Amino acid sequence: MTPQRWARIKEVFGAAFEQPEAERAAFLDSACDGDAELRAEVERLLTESGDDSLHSPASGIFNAAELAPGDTVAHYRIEAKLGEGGMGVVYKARDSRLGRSVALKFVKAQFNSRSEREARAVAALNHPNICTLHDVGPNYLVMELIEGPTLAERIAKGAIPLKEALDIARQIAEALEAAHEKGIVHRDLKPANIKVTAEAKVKVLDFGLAKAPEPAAGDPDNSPTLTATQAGTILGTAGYMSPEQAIGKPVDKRADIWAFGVVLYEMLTGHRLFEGESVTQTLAEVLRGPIDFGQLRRETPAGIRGLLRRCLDRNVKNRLRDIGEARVAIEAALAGEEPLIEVAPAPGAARRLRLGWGVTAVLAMVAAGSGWITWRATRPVDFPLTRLSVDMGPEAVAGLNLTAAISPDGRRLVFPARGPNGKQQLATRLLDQAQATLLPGTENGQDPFFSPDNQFVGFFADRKLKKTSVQGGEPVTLCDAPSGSGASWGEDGTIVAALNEASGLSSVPAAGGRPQPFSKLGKGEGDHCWPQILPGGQAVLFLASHSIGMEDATVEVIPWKGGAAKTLVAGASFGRYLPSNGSRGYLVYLHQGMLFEVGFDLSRLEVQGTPMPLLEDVAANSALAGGQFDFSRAPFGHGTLVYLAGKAAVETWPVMWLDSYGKMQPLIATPGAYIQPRFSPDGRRLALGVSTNSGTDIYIYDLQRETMTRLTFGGHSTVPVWTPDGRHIAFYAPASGFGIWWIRSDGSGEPQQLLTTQNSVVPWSFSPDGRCLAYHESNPETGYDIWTVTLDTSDPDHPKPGKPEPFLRTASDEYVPMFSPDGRWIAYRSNESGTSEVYVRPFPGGRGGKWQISTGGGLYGIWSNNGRELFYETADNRIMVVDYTANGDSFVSGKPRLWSEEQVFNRGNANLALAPDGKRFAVFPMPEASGPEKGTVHVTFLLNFLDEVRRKIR
Amino acid sequence: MVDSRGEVTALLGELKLGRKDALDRLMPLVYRELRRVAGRAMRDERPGHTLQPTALVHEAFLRLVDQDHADWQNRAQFVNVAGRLMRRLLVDHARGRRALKRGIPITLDEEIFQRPGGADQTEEILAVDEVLGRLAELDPQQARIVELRYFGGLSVKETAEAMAISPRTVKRDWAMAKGWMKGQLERRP
Repeated sequence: MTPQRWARIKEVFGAAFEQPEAERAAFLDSACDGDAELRAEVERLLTESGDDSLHSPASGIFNAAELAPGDTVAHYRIEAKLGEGGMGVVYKARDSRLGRSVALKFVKAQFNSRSEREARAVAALNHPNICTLHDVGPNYLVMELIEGPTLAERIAKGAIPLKEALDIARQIAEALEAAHEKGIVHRDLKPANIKVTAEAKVKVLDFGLAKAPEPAAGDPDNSPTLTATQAGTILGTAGYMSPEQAIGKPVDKRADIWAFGVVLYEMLTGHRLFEGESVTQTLAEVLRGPIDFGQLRRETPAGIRGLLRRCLDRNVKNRLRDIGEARVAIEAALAGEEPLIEVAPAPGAARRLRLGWGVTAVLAMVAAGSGWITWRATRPVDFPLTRLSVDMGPEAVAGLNLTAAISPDGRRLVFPARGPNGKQQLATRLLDQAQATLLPGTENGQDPFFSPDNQFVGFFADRKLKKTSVQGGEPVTLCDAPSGSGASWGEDGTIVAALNEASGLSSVPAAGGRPQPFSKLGKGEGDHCWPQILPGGQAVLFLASHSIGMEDATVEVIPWKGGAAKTLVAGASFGRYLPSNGSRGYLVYLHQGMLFEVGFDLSRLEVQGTPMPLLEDVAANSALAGGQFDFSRAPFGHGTLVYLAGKAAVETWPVMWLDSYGKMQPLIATPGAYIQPRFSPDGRRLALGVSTNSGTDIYIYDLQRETMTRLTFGGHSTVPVWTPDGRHIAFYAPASGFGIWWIRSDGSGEPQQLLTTQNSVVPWSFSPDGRCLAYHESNPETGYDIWTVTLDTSDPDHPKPGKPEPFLRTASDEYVPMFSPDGRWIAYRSNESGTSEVYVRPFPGGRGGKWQISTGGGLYGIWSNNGRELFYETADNRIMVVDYTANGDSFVSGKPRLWSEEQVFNRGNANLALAPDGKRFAVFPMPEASGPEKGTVHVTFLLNFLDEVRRKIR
Repeated sequence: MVDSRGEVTALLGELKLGRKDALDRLMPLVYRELRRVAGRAMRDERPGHTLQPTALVHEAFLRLVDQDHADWQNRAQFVNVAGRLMRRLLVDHARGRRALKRGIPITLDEEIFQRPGGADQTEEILAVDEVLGRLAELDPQQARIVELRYFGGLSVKETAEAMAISPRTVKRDWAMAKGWMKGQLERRP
């Protein structure tokens, strides 16, 4: 297009755009003056510009709202919701133009012009066994409405009689044949996508709509892609994925042929062919699990048995090439003819399979009830894997950081524990002894690591890197470590450590000395962390994060002598090398919450072979990408893995009452993503932040009526703070600009901005007279500071703020200020000591005096209304209480005592509300899957781990 | 990063005076800060765990620009640069995402790549980036508007302020750019 032409189009478009819509046509007639091409172009632009499909990816996190019967989408009127699956929500709708019933499917998967084109190709498929696609909307599909159960529902009731099963299979094959001829691959054929009508007519749904896998960057063998877009949603699909799909290779029609084989097998046997309790386990079965053709009924014709073997050949090159052949074989079987497909099973295959079962049984006994993925072992098991769960004792602490480090000789553990003063401290235990001993001077120690001679342990504490002897004695500070994320102690006495965030690794002599930069951040890299010096000291393994957060981190290796870092695995976190024999070993790493292994050549610093999943219950710290496991080669090279079992973070939880006896009772039984609960002053209502697909908003729960009412809209409101009269709520609405908002608690009236500020501020509490609001501010220079502002509430719906006053502004972070019931004190959190603790200061400020309330870490201070007790939440999420007396300007507090043994759940936001009677808290219960059992921490030992790793990867 | 404040403010000043190389020096500073702020937000305790990219830009501005000397134009200038950077950030991210083809459940990343309806926007981001390059040759102003609106997530009003043009112009140009781009996107192989 020439610039002149563009300018002309722009001119006409601009003028037409300003016209009322009804007058545009007439305007264009005169403006274009017979230039039909110009007119067409401008008209197209005008039409297209009305389209709103271009949403800013930066516009946040709104998900489409649920549709209700009566709603209309284009010219379709919604009648009922039919179902919801991995692909999206399906509604029954009425096409008002053509007067017919249709199914509307809102697709969650990627839906751009390319998939739209693909969908149009599918729409062109006109076959009696393929569900017709009528139309394609911007994010939905309009499909033929088919009544009847899915094949999955049929199979769930048991095996389908032979003749009927073959008839269904024939129709499926015909559908696939028609699609394959047009070059369309289904990619997600499974019983749930096949419907059987009352007239025994088969309809295959969702052709070609599954996301086409693209080849991964680099060598596909090295890429741990499981195509597990969303672990939950693909569980139902995993069992039908072809082996090549399961390892993320591109697929063609032969993937459909595999899936067809699985479906036919399942129709004939009534059992799932590949089934696991998780996606990994299922995929492992797909890749290597035995296929027992002995399960087929005796009357299954030889031709069908042969067909199944050809379809279910893991080697894609040997698999049946054309679904038409399958149709022919089925038709022959239905007609009672001899098979046309030659069947030649590999010699010895049957025997090997049977052996496989036996070995699996042995392993399954060992692994029963565990997250271990059982495999068909392929050689004798001389040192079987042994799993032990070890109670670390009542004082052990499980947190986000490493829960147990094992010495290289495998004889000793070092782990964080609660010391006598309640502070976290490192403890050590020889595995042949029952007792653990605390290592003196290791308060706040975390992420311990051993010296190669087993005699010392390094750790991070109070922003320093330190070392201490395992025999005890005073620790030695090696250097500053403002934000340590892992270190490794080399055989030559050098420690490589991640001392600070957003920087490269450093090396520090273990004997003492200045740290030297070891690695430099590469282009586009955000951080280097979790180093491991490889055996021989020739290279260092580490994790490099690349962009926002740690999720796209890569495991890299850098030669000791310098040189460029090399990427080993992308999309991984916390890589560790496990030595085996000579220069060959294994790299294990976490990926999507699973532990994977891949071969690693130490001399060439290269990964080898295909990654294999190992464990799926290793706890990890997703924010810092740290893994909760450690490894020792001992004993005798069989290897011991020590890890903390954990699951992915839970998404929803209920709200519970907790009393001082540790008794929990439901308050809001329906689980939700609740945060920041606050009781109304009369205790009848509970305000909370609730996160949903459309963001976080404030809701009010009425305890008597047991109803939940939404107070704010827009998805960006949280931290409700009641006024003392219970009539208003101040809150935080980060997306609306910096400041504090105010709304009537009964839901009448609109929210208004109470205060406008320069920085981001969060309201936290009102003085008892309601005239003063305490809040914290995120200041770019001084971190979090506490401010107060007086309010003129003569018109309660339009309070007028005075001039905000700083209450506490220091270089450390002070926040969550809570007024005492008499309004003379403020409890708050500060990290001035290097640990977050709860403190009390008099209000108004300036009277001096500061009292530390918590010891060993405190998060939120909460006053009782009785004027005698101050509660706080500990760093490990238990509730403590402190008795106090205030005389004039002095605040005398007693020794903190544990109020309740119960550990409560904390997702990183305020998680407690004290009822006005001061006797009960609203809390979130610890989800069963996460966190340690009450009072104790168990770590899992896997003995003979290296033997198992070798077996698995062969 | 606090030490870069003076530098960023000075660079914004230079930019205002028309010194083109100031932009080149400014970009890495702001880019790094954007990423840092976004990364921090995930680790820090922060009430309300929603993080809007626009909020991110505002926060980066506060952290990077000497507030005593920041004036309204500085802010507009900054938003302008940040819009460009958001584009780079999103595109880099989308490339990585496409290459890796994986779906770790993560917060910020998911937020960026999920659009209303829940569809993954990776491919769209890359396609828009490509088409936007062509638009910039035809009409630099429209391309800047798309950059700020689409990649920066700015409203019409914010875009108008950042570019010192009227909201009406923004609306009109945005409409035409959208129409043109839609045609181009459909024509892509």
